[in-house]
Amino acid sequence: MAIINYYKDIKIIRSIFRLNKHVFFNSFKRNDTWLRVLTIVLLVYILFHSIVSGGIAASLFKSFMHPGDKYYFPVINVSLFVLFVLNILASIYLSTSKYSEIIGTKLLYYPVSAFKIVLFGIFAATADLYNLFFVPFYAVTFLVIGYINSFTSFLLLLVIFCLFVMLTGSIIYLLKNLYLLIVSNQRQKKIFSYAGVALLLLIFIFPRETIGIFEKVRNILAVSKIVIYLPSGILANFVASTTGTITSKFLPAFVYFFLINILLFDLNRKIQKKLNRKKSIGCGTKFNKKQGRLVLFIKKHITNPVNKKDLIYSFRSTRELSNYLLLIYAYTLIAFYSFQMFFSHQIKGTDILYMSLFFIAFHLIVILKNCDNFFGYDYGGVINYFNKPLGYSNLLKYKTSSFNFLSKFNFVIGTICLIILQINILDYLLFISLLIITYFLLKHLGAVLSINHPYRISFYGLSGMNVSFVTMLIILITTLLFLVISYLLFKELSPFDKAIVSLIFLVVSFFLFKLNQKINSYLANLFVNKKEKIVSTCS
Amino acid sequence: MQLNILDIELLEVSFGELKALDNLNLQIPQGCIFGLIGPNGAGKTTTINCITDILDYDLGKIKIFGKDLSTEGLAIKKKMGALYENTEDLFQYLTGEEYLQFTGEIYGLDKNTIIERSNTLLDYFELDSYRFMLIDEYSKGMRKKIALASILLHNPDFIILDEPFDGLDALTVVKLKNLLKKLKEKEKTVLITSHILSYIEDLTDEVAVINKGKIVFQSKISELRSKVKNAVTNETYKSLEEIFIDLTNTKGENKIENLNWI
Repeated sequence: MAIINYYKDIKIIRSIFRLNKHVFFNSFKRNDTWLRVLTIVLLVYILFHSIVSGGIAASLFKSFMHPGDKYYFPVINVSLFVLFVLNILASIYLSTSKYSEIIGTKLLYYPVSAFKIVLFGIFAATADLYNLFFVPFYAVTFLVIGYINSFTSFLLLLVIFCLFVMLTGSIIYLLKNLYLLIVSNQRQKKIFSYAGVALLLLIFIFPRETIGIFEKVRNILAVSKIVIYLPSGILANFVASTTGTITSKFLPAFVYFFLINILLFDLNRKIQKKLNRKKSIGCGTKFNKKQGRLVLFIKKHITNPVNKKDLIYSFRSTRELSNYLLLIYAYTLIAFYSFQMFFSHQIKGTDILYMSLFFIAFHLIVILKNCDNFFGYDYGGVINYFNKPLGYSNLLKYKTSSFNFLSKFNFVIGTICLIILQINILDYLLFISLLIITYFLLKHLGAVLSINHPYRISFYGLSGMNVSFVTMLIILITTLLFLVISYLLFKELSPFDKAIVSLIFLVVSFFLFKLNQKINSYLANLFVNKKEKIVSTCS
Repeated sequence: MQLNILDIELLEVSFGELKALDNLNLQIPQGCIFGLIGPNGAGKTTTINCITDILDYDLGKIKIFGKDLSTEGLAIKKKMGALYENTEDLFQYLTGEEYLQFTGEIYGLDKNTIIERSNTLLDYFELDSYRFMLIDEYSKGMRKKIALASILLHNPDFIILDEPFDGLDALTVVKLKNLLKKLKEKEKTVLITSHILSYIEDLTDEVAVINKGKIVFQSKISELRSKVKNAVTNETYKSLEEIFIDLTNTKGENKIENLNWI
């Protein structure tokens, strides 16, 4: 009877593996663009991963060949620690097949016990394709090391190594479930996102200090006793012992990995239970009657319903809020460096070029990033724009208003910074005319991209793209093009030519302004032709 | 002569090889509660999407309130309200109250009217205590209710209800039935689709059956039982369900015997 049960369990595990495989490969089938994105991400990942893991595996092997070397153990220890952390982080970040959700929630509907759900989940996480990419390199290395010594050390290494891989799977599963547990609550979601942004801000505002911390951590890692007792450290110690007393080291290592696996299993079971409970909470238990002051302010002072809705969304979506926080942060940086340059009298000659280019690039990347997929958060609600008496020209006007606002903001800040820096009037003129012409061109480009390549964005998540793959490519190409042109204009033109080019830009901008109505009518026609695609993509 | 609120002529919609609507003709008179029924995939939702201007049709003409939808869409939409089958078609990250406010503002209602009507509708659909909750956190039935409230807010003359009873509790079903009676009294025109044929038979004045993109049957409810089922025996239909099965189950297959393993 027990054998039949085990056989059934194995069949379930096999079904889960198949499910993972289908989820993974079906994600390629969603549409062509998605296929391209995933393929590129995957190829880059495999390439990067192969280089890193291959390098570490080679260094491991090399250090094994020179056991007398005093760096032998620290090299293995640090290399394994890096691989261990990298493996876990990359697997969590890159995993497209959401095992935790699939296994945790969907398997509950089937006659599978909670104990087995966690067990299967760990198996699935261990066999995650991204996790498996990491395994071959150091598996081969260790097993070769073991095999060179003796068949016994090969077998013992195999056992310890399997326990280590399983432990990694358990940690991946645990972290994924913890993340899901955090994002299942709106308040926690926000705190999580703010913490991420705050960390980014700290790294960028205090780069030296951060590097210092990283260096300290690196130094500590090489010798720290804590790292030695981490799973990677125990494995490193065991690998190092293959040159000598491997059998005596096997039992402690085995007990260690076995106990940690049991501990993690229990923890996973508890987290899974909490997650299932969170998921099955009915409606009406999670909302908060209190409304934020900002939302109340928006409701009171913004009259246009589409703008009002978009602004409320901006303050509710942690992702969008993070975008705006990064925007504020970037401007703070620019202002900070402008003042620093001014007071230290460092700015002279072509230094302004880089400052200007930065502004233009910023204008292109950040602002366009916020405005070239303006249906991204609307989801099924996008239907409201088309079945209600809004009018396509009006919709376009409302949807580009955040772009207009951000552009004006960029323009004002840029002007103030450059005035502080007391730059040459012709450079200033060129800079302003470049900003104006990019404003007009990008405004329309953003609208065309939003209409032609809508892309559903995760409202709360921080990973993933903000725009479609095609849009991203176009933004990159446009940014590069504008940067190269701007660079050449600033660098190569004589003062007289700068004045002429500025004048041409301003004249073109004027005509674009005059043609605004006609361009809007053209874009409104685009809406008519693309509304089905927009509705089906966003819903 | 009675004015038709909706007049569809020779409507054709294709999705690649599939012809979703095939020369569809449909007329709905003013003040009529009209039922459109059909099997899954028959073209009901496609018809509704065309009428609400979500989907462009390949051929044909749609006139609503005597106006051409393709040229006077904006004016038509001001007097129309549509409830879709899919309850995801709402702004999920607005609260129920905010969504009603958004809808009211789009239709150009003044602030006081929006507040007053929202309160009445939220109260009627028993959503009052959930008004500050994000729609994302609503149950399916609650989403349906807020969607219903939003389409009534601007007091439209032509209302489209695609599967309105789906997901609603018994009390709300009764409320919706009462609401339909009220709309009838006020001479509003309602197009309603549902798989619950008894509701259609009870609530509507006229019914049409759509199958494979075509209207295959149209009759006043009062005349249903006088329709002849068998010309030889002069047998008449006993219910709408009987007509529906007769018209849509063209192969006459049941295949229940294939499930003998149960």
